[in-house]
Amino acid sequence: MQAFDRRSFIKLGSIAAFNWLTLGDALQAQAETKKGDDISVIHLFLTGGMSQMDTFDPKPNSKPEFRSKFSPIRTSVPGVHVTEHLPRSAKLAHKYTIIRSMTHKTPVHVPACGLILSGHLPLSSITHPAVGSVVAKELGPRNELPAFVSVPGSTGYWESAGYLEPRFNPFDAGNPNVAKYQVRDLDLPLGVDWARMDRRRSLLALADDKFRRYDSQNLIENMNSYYQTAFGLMQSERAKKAFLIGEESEKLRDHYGRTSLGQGALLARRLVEAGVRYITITRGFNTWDHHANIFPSLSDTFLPELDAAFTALVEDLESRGMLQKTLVIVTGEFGRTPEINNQAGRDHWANAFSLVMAGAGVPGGQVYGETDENGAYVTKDPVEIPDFTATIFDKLGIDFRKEYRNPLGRPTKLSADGANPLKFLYS
Amino acid sequence: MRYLAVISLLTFSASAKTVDLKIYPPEVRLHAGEGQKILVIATDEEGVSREVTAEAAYTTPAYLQVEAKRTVKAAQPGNAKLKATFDGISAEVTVEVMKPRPHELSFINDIVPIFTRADCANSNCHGSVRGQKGFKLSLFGSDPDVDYDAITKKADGKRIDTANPANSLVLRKPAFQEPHGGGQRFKAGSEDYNLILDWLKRGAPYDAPGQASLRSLTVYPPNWRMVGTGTNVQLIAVGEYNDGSVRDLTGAVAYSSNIAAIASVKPGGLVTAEQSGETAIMARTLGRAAAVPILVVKDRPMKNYPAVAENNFIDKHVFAKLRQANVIPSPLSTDEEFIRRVYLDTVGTAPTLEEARAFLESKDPQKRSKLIDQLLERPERADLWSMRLSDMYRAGYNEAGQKGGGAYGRFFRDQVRKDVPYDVMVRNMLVSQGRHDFEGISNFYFVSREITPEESGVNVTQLLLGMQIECARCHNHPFEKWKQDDFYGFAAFFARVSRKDMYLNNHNGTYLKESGEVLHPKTNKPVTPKYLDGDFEPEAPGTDVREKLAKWVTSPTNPYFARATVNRFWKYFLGRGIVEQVDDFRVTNPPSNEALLDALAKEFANGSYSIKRLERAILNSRTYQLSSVPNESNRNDQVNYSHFLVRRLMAEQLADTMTQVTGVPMKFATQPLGKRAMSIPVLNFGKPHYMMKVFGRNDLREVICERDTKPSVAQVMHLVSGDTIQQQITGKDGNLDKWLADSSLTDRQIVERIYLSALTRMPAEDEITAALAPLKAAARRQTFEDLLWAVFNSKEFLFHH
Amino acid sequence: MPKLYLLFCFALGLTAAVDSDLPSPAPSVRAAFPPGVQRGTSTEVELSGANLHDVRSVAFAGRGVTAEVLAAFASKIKLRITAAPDAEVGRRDYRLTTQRGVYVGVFDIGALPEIVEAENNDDWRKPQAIALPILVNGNIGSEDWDHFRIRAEAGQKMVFDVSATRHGSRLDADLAILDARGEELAWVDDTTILGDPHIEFTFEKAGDYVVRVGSLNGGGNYRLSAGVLPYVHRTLPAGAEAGKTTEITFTGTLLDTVDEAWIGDRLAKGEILSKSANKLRARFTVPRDAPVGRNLVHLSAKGREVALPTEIRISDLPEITVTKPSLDWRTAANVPSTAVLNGVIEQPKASHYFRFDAQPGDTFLFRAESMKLGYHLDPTITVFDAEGKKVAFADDPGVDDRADEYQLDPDLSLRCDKPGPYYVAIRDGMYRGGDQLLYRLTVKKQEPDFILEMRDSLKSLYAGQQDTFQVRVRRRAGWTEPVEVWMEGLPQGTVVERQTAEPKDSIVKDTCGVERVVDGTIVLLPVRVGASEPGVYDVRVKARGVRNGRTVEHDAIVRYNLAAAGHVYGPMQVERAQFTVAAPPSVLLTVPDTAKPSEPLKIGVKRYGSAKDTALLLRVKGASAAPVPVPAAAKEASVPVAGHAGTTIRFEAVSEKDGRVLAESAPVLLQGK
Repeated sequence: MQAFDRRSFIKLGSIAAFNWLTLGDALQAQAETKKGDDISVIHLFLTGGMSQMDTFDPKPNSKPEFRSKFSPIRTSVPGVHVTEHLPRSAKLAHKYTIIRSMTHKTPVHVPACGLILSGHLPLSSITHPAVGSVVAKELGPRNELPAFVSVPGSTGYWESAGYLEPRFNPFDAGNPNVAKYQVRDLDLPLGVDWARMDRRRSLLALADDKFRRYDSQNLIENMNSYYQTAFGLMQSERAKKAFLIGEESEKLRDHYGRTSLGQGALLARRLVEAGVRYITITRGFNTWDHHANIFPSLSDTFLPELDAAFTALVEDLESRGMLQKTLVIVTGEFGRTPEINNQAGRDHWANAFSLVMAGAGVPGGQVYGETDENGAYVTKDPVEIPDFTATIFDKLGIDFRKEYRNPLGRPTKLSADGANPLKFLYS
Repeated sequence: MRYLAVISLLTFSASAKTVDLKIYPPEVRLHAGEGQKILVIATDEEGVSREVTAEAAYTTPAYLQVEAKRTVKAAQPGNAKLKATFDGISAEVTVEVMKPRPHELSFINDIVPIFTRADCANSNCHGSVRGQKGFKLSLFGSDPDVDYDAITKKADGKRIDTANPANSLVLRKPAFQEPHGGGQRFKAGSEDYNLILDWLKRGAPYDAPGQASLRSLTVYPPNWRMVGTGTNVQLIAVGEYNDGSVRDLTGAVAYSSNIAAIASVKPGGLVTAEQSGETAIMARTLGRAAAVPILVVKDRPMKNYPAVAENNFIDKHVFAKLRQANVIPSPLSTDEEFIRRVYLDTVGTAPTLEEARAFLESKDPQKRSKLIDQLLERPERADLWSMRLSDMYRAGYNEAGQKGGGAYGRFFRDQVRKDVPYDVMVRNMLVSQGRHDFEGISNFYFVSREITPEESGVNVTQLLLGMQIECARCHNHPFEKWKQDDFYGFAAFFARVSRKDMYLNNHNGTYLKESGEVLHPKTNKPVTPKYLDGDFEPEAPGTDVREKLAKWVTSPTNPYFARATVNRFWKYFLGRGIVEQVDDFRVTNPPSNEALLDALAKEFANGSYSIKRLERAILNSRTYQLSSVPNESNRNDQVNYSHFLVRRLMAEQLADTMTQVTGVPMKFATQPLGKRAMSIPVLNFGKPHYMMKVFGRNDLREVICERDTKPSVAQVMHLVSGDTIQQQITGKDGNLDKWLADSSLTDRQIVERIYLSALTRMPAEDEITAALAPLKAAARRQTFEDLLWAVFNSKEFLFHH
Repeated sequence: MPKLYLLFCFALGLTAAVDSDLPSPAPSVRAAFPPGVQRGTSTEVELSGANLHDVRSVAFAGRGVTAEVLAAFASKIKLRITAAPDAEVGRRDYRLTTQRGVYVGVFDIGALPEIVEAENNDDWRKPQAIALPILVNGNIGSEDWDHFRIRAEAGQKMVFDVSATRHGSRLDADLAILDARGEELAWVDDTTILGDPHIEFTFEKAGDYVVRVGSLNGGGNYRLSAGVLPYVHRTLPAGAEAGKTTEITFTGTLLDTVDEAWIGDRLAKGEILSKSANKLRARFTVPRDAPVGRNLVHLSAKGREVALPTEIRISDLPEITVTKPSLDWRTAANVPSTAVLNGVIEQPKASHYFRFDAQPGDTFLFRAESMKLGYHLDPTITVFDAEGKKVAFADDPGVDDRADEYQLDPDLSLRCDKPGPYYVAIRDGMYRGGDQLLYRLTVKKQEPDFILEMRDSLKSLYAGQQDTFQVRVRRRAGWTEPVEVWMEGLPQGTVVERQTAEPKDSIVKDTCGVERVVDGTIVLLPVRVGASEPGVYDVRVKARGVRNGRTVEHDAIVRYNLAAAGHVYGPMQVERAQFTVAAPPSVLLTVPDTAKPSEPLKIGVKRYGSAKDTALLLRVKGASAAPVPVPAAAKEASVPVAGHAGTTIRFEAVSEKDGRVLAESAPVLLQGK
C-alpha cells in the first residue's frame, strides 16, 4: 500500500466531493438533477416560540389583558402592519410574504421542533429526518462542502438525520459571533502540519493493511471514503474561505448585527455562495421561550437582533443576485398565548402563529391568512405544516410524495399524506 | 383444474438413493367435493431433499383419488390412509374427508382474497393509506368491512351494477375492459372474474353473521433447503376457519419473496431457487401472513466437510446450520484476538499491558475458560451491562436527566453485580413505583413526558417481547395479526400508572392512581386489560393488575419473553441478532436459526434467567471464539456466525481504552476527573462530550433505538484533528512520558508497548521500522505521538475483531 | 438563560406585582460562609447577597448566640458571631434589619470542632488532610470537587454526613469514599428527603482514604461532619405532649456511647432506659408550659453532643406511638377521636388502619406529616365508613409553587353524616415501605375552621408605591363560609383594603397553560403606601368568618417565602411579620464593594420619578476627588478614585440644578494596588 503523498492527495480531492455519499448515491443523485437543483435554503429558526401578536401579526384592538405593549407601524406595503420593534423589516415588507395562519396541535417544545423541522410528529420509536437531511440525501453536496449545515449546531435529535444514516446529520458550524471563530476539527491540531499529517497517514495505512484480512464487509474502503471527504474539506480553499467570516467588512458585519443570529445569517450567505444547500440558524435552544417579562426581552434584545439579521440577509442576497436562488424562512416551532400570564410573559400556543418567507420565487409584499382580533385562532386560509415542508421540497425539485421506508417498515412520504405545495408561495 | 402440476426439471444425477419420504400436510383434511393439494418430499442418503409429488405412486381407497398427481379429492366423507411410494420408499398420511361445506359464496373468504392475490391491495396501490384514485382497500385484505364499503357504497355505489353485473367497474377495470392504471389483473372469464361476477349476480351481499372466518393460515413445508439453482418446490397453503372447516388456499393467497434474487415465487406458490443465499417466502390473505424460510445452496453437500469441534449446545446448532448451507466455519481466533475481544465484551476496555502479557505467555490449556470466569467477576462488567441496559430502557429519558437516569443506571449496576435473575428484575420493574431519584427502578415507566398507558404498552412490547405493535395504535397492523383492540387491550394494564409531579425542586415519581382507564379510540369505551394473543385480565379492586402482567410476561410458557431477551443479549456478543432488528419479532421476519434461538431461550429459562450463566455459555462457545478472518466458503455469510462479525466499538470502549493506553484521564462535564466513560450512566445533555456524541452515545435517549455505529464525516474529522485524541497523545505525565523517561526502555520496546496495549498484538517488523523511520528527523516524543495517532485512527483499534 | 432543557411546566409563584420598575429595597442574603459555628467559639462569618448596606441589627433566635457587624457593603457583610458554650446545637433563625427592610436567614450551631476547606483540593491525588472527628465548611462551584485525606483503623465504623439543604444551602451535593488508588468504595447522591448525602462506612483495612464532596451542578456551601460519631436516623414518636411523659426510641448508629438526652434548650431532661449500637430508648417529661410546635431533641456522648439533632413537635394533643399497627380495617385498633398517631410504614403496599367513633354531623380534620419532619413518607389519607366503603381520600395537596411547605403532607377534612365506627388509613403514595417512612397522623374532632397564612411576611415598599400582600385561606373540617381578611399595625398613611376570601379553591395556570387547583383561596390585599414615615413596623393579618351565628377570628400564621428566608422549608423559630416603608429614592447609585485606585470605579446611575432626566454631580465622601458630572441621559459614570487602602468611601448624587443630595451610595472599600 503506497503511502499517501501530497500530490496524489490533491488528485483524490476532486473526486472526494462525492464521497459525502457512497459513489452509487452520488451518481444516482447526478442523474436526477433538474429544476430546483441550484436553490438553497436559509432557515432562521427562533426556537422557543415567536409571539405572533408582538411581531408580524399585531393586534392593536385585542382585549386589554391580551394586548401587546408594542404598537404596530406601517410597512412598505399599504395596509400591512408589523410591530414597532421591527422597523427595518417594515421597510422591506415588499420583499417577503407573511403567513399569519400557520397552525398545528402540539404546544410542547420538543415534539413541535420535530414537527416544524421534519414535517412529522416524532413517535416513541421513530425520529423522522429533518428536511435538511432529506435534501442532503436526495441532492447530495454541490462540492466538498457539506450539503446541510447547522449554525451554531443541531439543538437536538429533532434536528438530525433521524432514522437515515448519521452522514446526513447537519454539520455543526459553531457560533460565528466570537473573536477567533473556528469550525470544530476543521484545522489541523497545534504543531501538526500537512507534512507531519502525511507521515501519520502512511503509518495508518500500514496498520490498516494488517487489518485487511479481517475485513469481509469492506469497512476499510467505506471508512477511507470518509477520510478522503474529511481531508477534502480540511484542505479545500473554498471551504476555508467560506468559513472565514472575518473577510466581511466591519460595516456589513455591524449591519447584520453582532449577535449569533446576525453573524449566523452572514455566515449562511457565505456558505450558500460556497455551495451549501440547507442551513438552519438558531441563537441557542429555547431562548425565545418568554414565559416571564416578554416585552423588555423582545424590545431590548430579541426583535432588534431578528430585525437586523433578517433584513441584512435579504438585502445582501438581493444585492448579490442570490435572492432568486435562496429561500429565506423565519419561524419558531409555535406562537405564544395571546393572554399575558401573571409573570408578564406569554406561554406556548400552537393554534395560530406567523411565519415569514422570502426569495426563491416567493412573492413579496403578500400577507396570507388571518387570525381573530386577539391573534388566537386562524379565521382564514389555515396552513398546515406538511404543506409548508412540501413547498420547500417542491421548490428544491424533490418529489415530496417520495416514500422512505422507516424502521417500522412503514412507507412514509417526505411530506405527510395529502400534503400539497402552497400555491401562493410561487410567483 | 386450473393449476397443473409442474414437473420439476431434475438437472443433476439422481444417483443418491432415497432414504426418507415425507408427505405434507401431515394430516390431510378436506371436505367432500373439494380438493387438497399435497406435497411429497424425498430425502437421499446425502441429506438432499427434493419434491417428487409428480413422480410418486399413490395407493388410496376407491372413493379417494389423487388428481393429476397433485390434488387429493373425495366424493363422500370418510377416514382413510393415503400411501405414496417413490424409489422403493413409501410414506403414509391420514386423510379425513368431512361432509361437504355449505358452499354459499362468501364476500370475505372468496372475494376479498382475489384483490390480495391479484396485487390490487398492496401498499403502493389501492392498499396504501390514501388508496389510489379514490378507491381505498384495506392493506392485504386486513379489514373486509372497509373493502366491502369501498366496493359497494363508496363513489355512490357506481363501482358495482347488480342490474347488469358484467358492466360493473369492479370487473371492467381489473379485466382491463376499461382504461386502468394497474393494467390487467385477471382475464375476463377467468376463475377470479367468474367468482366476482357470480357474487355480483347474487346482489353483492355481505357475509351473513356467523359466516366462518379464517382462524389460521399454515404453509408447508415449514422451511426448505433447495440444493442447486433452478430447482423448484410447490408450496401448499391450508386455511382453518373458526367453524372447524378447512380449505386449500394454495391458489388463493398472495405470495412474495423477501429477496427474489435468491428465491422467486410465482402466483400459485411455485418457488424457484435463483442463487445461493437465505430468504423467506411470504403468504398473505385476509390480514394473516405465514413465512417459509428458504436456504438455497448451489452445489450438493460437500463430501469432505471437515469435522468441527463443538464446545457446547450453541456450537451444535450453529455448525448444523452451516453444514446445511455448505459453509465451513473459520478457524479458532488467535490468543491475541481472543483476549482483546473478550475483555472489550466483558469489562469494556482492551486488556492492559500486564494482563495481555500474562495471558499470552500462559501455557495453561484451560486459560481461556479461566480468563472468562475471572472477567465475569470484575466490577467493570456491571458498568458495561448498566450501560447496555440504560440504553435499552432509556435511563435519563429527557426530563429524568442525570438525577433520575443516574439512579436507574446504578439500579442496573447493582442488579448485575448481584446477578439478580433477569425475570425477577423485569417483574420488579413492571410493578415498580417510587421517586425517580431515590428508587431508580421506577424510571422504567418514565418514557414519555406524561406517563401514558399507550407509551408504556409500546415500551413493554418492544423491549420485553421484542415486537413492534405501535402500528396498531392507529389502524390494524397491515400483515401482522395485531389489531387495534390488541394494542389498547395491552395498554389497559397501565391505565393507573401515572407521573407523580413532586415539586421538591423539580423531581418526578411513578405511582398508581386510585383509578384510571384507557378508552378505545373508535368506541370511546373503557378497555379491559388483555394479554397479547391471550385472554382478558380485568383488575380486581384493591389489587395492581400489573402483578398479573409481570407473571404472564416472565412465565416460562410466554412465547415471546425469553426468545426476545436472549436474542438481544446474543447480539451484544455476536454483533447480529438471530432475529434482526432485535425488537422486530414477526411472522414475516423469521429467525436465521430457529433451533439456536429456541435452545438459547430454554437454556436461559431453565438456568433461572441468570445473565452471567448465559454470558458464560456464549463466551465459552467456539462460535464466539471463531476468528473473524473469513474463508472461501463463508466470505459472503453475514447471517450464520460462520466467522466473528467485525463491528465498531462503543464510544465508551474507545474512550476508556485510549485513557488506559495513554494514562491521561479524560474529563466529562459534571464528573470528577478520572471517572471512566462506561461508569457514567447518564452524561449532561447540555454539556455533551463531543467524542461521545459523535460516536453514537445519546444521553437524551428519547427514542427506542440501538446505537448507530455507521461512520460519518464528523466522526472522522474528530479522529483526525479533534481535541480528544490530541489531548490523549500530548497529555503530560501519562504512560508515554514515563516510558520516554525510562532509560532501560529502547524505542523499539516503546513501539511494542504501544501496539500491545492498544491493539493487543506485537507490531510487525515493517510497522516498527515505519514507526521509527522519521525518528531522526523529528523530536522523539513527536514520533510516538504520530504513532499513537495512527494506532487510535486504525480500523484495528476502532473495530471489534 | 432559561434552564437549558426546560421541559417542566411548573406553577410560577405569585410575586409582588410592584407597578413601578423600582428594584425592591429589602435586603436579601444568598449565602453565609461559614454557614455555622461551633458553640463556645467566636468566628468571622461573611453574608453575601444584595442591599445589605446600612445594616442596623443581626439578631439570633434562642439563647446564647450574638453577632457583631464588622463591616457592611451592598453585597457583603462581615460579622463576628459568638456562640456561648451552652448555646443550643442545631439550626436557628437570625433576623437582619436595615433601614430599607428585614431578611430572615438560618444559621447552624455545631458541636464538633470546625475548619474551612483549603481550596485546590480538586485532585484526589492531592487531598487536604483532616483530623477526625471534625466538621469541614466548604463551597462547591461548578466542576469543583473537594477531597479530604482521612486515616482509618481496620474494622472502624465512621459516619460521613454532608449537610446542605438542611441549613439552607442550594447545593445538591454527592459524597464518595475513595481508596488509595482513587477507586470509589462508596458513593451516594441523595439520602435525606431534600437530597443531602450521608454514608456510614466500615473500613476493612487500616490506612489512608479520601472523602470526596462533589455535585452535578455545584452552586452552594456544605458542612461535612466526619468521624466516629453517633448519628440518629429516626426519632419515634416525633411528638411529645406538653405536661406528659413520653418514651422516645432513637434508631441510628454508635448510639451505645450516648449518655445524655434532652429536648430543646434544656427544656426536658431525658432518662435513658436502654441503649445498643443502633437503638436507644429514653423517657422525657415535658413541662406543662412548654411552647407547642417545632423543637429539637439532643443526645450527647461523653460531653460531646451528637451532630445534627432531630426534629420533634411539642404537642397539645395526646401522642400515641403505634407499635403493632393493624394492616386490615377489620382489625383496626380503636383510637380516641382526637389524638396524634406516630408510626412507621415498614412493609411495602401496607396501610395502617385506625378505628374511631363519630356521630352524624361530627366534623374531623386529619393531618399527615412526614416531609416536614425530614422523613421520606409521601402520605395519603383514606377514610372508610362502617362497611369499609371509601368516603374520603387525600394525596398531595394542591401546590401553587415550589415554596409551598405543605408539598407532600396532606390535610383531609371529613363531615360524618352516618353514625357508627369509621376507619382512617395512612399509606405511602407510592406503596413503598421502609424504616424512614415515619408519619405523625393527627386525628382531630373539631368544629369547621379555617387556617390563615401570611405569605409576604417581610415586605418592603417605597413611600408612594402600590403592591399586594399575598394571604392564603385554607378551609378545614367542612368550613364553607366566606372569610374577611384585613391587616393591622400599618404605619399612618399606608392603606390596605379589606378583602373577602370566597369559599372556593383558587386555580393557578402553569407555564404550559395547564390549570392547577390550589389548596385554599389566594387573597391579594392591595396596599397603597402614601407619605408614611420610613421605618420597620410589626404587622398582623387577621381574618374573621361567621358560621351559623358564631364568629371565628384568627391571626395569620407567619410563613416566609422560600427564597426570602434562608431557602429552607417550614416554620421559623421566631414568627414575626414586619413591613418596612423606605424613603423613595429619586436616584439609585450601584457601586461595587471594593475598588482599586488603579482602575476608575464604574458606578450605575438610575433615575426615578421627578429626577427622571436631571443632570447630576457625583461627589466622593471620605476621600478627596473632584465631583464628576453625570449628563441627564448617562446610565453609568466612571470615577477616578484616590485614597489609601483600607478607607471606606461613599458617593453622593447631587442635582446640578439645585444642589439637593438625591442619593447616597453604599460604602466602597479602597484596596491597595
